[in-house]
Amino acid sequence: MHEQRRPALSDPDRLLELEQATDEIARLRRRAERERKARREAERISERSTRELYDRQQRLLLARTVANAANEASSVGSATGTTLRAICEHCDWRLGHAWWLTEDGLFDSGDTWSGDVERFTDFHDATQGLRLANGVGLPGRVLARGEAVWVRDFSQVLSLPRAGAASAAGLRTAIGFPVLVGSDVVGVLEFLTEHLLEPDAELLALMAQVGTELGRVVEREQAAQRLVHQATHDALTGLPNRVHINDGLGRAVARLRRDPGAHVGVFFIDLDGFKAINDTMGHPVGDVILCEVAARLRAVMRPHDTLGRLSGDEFIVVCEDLDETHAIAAIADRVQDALSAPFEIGDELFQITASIGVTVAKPEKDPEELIAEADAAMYRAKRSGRGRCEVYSEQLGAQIRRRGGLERALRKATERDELRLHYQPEVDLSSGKILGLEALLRWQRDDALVMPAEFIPLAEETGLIVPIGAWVLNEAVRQSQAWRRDPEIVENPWISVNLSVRQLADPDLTQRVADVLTQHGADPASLLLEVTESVILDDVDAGLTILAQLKQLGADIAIDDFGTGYASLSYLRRFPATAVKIDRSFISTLHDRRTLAIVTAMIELAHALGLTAIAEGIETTEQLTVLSELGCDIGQGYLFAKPKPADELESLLKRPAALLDAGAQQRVR
Amino acid sequence: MKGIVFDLLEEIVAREHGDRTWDQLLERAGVEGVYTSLGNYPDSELMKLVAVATEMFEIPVPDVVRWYGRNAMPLLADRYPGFFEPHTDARSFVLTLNEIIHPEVRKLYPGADTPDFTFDASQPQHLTMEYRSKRQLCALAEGLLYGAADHYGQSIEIEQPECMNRGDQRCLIQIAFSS
Repeated sequence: MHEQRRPALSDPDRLLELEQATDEIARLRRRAERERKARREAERISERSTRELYDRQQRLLLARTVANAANEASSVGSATGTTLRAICEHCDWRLGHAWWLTEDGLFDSGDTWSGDVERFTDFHDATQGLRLANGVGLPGRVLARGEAVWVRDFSQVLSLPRAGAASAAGLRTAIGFPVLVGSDVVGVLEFLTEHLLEPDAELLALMAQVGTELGRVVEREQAAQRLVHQATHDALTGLPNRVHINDGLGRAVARLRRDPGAHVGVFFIDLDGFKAINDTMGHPVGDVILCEVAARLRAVMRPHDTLGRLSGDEFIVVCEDLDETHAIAAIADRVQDALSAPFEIGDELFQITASIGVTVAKPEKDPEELIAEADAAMYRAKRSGRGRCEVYSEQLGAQIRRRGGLERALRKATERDELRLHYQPEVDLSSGKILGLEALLRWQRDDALVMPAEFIPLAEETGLIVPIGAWVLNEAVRQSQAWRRDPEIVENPWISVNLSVRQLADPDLTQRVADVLTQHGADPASLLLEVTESVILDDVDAGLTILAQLKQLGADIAIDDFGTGYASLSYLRRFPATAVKIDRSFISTLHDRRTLAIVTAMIELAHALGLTAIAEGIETTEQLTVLSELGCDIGQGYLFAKPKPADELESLLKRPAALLDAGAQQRVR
Repeated sequence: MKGIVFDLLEEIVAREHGDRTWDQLLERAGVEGVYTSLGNYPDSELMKLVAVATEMFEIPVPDVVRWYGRNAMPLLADRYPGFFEPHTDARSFVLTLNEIIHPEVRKLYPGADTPDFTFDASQPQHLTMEYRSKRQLCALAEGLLYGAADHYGQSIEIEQPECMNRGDQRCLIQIAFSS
């Protein structure tokens, strides 16, 4: 075993070694310390990166959550709810709340989210009641600045309306940031926490992004609402349109089913004479009046009443709570009163009234039916004059249904060949000769023969008179020509055809008449066109122009129902007529002294104007005697012959002497 | 167990007893001793180190752990000043454990198994903490509480009427803060 070598302190070499070793240890210690510090530094750097990475990931996640919510949301409400919750959870805010800017420039409280609803009930209540103006409260400050606002300690800023409530709830730091559509602030999201937080630039940048995302949803919803509004409102007046009214009325009827004691009134308001204003003053003036009417009606409606515009000058009011104090008549009066002041457009004043039809809704009816009922009642009101109101009844409904059935049948009458012409002779009172035949329309409806009075007014209203009239003219001229070619018939009477107002309004009427005459090779002079005075009352110049053209064509014109139409004598002067037909009402009362005086004057007047006088409706020999003595030229009536179908009339034409009974013949001769 | 715990232990032992003691601790515990705050290490290594320290310093395990916690706090304050600065007293600092400190810890160390404390803060100068953990490190919590009090220049008194180490279902730590 070797003796262990020990360093001797006296040994200079050893001493040197010891010093060196000590140095070495110190150096190693420093190195170890350095290494330790380097490790700390590396850990610190790594921790910072890790934290930043974590925060960035969280923010990305939040941004994605909000973007998804914005993309998928069906409404601003649901997107807001998701966003408030996501921000609270990701950023550890206690409470999130949305404010929405309303049309009056104030913020209204919207959705709230908090993890602990109970804890923030009082704060929530303090928020709910508030409406904040620009510059007031957190949302007001955001609006005023147009950017996010960071309040380090909300509870200490006494100028904020909810500082006390925040303090009581232990809420400290708050942020508010704008929801932007373009550059407009439309809402503000606010978040509060019980911690004291310093402004965080990255968080604010993220919130700006959130505000823009949510703004997209608001913009989308606004666009959708605009579309819905456009689809349900009238562009001119801004009132609900038919779609909207039907919808509202549908709901009102549904409520009626649940509450049968309620009364819902549907008012159909149609302006009187509006078409004339539109035609004479132009549509821009008409539009101004419609807007003014809408505004006036809106002003007298109660909040629960719905006012809408159906089309043109037709308005609808739906009143959901009719009762004694809110009665139909009172509402109708209010409408008329609203319109009573003249409408001033430029220098012109217009007086407007409305015809009003009302129906009381029944639960089994649908909105279209109810509007049709009110419309029918309005129509009835309009026919009885301006400014009237009529209430729909089942009787009126039955009448309308009958009319509807009649109209449908009449439409098919021409194609089913159900129309017939009967002819009634017009007899020369001095010779007894048949001078003319009036073509009279009949409708062979199944087994019944329908008289003109029952369907001509309807044909006039519906415009069916135009094709029917064309058929009558053609058929009459055809038949007349057929008789003229018949060698057994020696007489060649003219053919009288009635023209309606609607036909005369047709600018091509002259051409049509000319075409019919040409087609059948008929002489225009063999055609006597009968028109009533009322034809020219509607539009004097147009009526007279057409009649002048027909006269020019070679046809004769007779004024039908003479003496009943209020025509002024000055028109009579310009009327290109060749004959007047004295209305049957004068002939049937000819025994009356005053009637006799009138008929005497009419015949004299006709003769003075160079017109032939024709008396209609002669039924007795006494009437015939008087008329003959007065110098009336031509007579027509049962006394001579009833209107007959062409085949029955032929025998008369072949033996004209058989026309008059013995007495009548005697008188005439 | 998170590396930071080992890191801090190394720092405290080296500072108080020298590097050599730390080396001896590692050698006697039979652990490699390569720790960084970023890593994750078996709980058992910490337990071995504590056991060895108990022998070397001749003090009981809870005392070692408490000593460690109390000394770790200033180091934490140095590393993470942001958690301490918003507060002026230990009680308010302690109350942010669940909501701020532990979430922040999890940001750094995803999956960190931080304990959840239930607080009763109804008394202004008192705090009752309920602690349940498999690790049963209520002594560490106590040490950290003392350290927090030191940081804010306060003194505290701690009692544990219930302790899992004594067979209870939970540890109940009652703290009285000086003003």
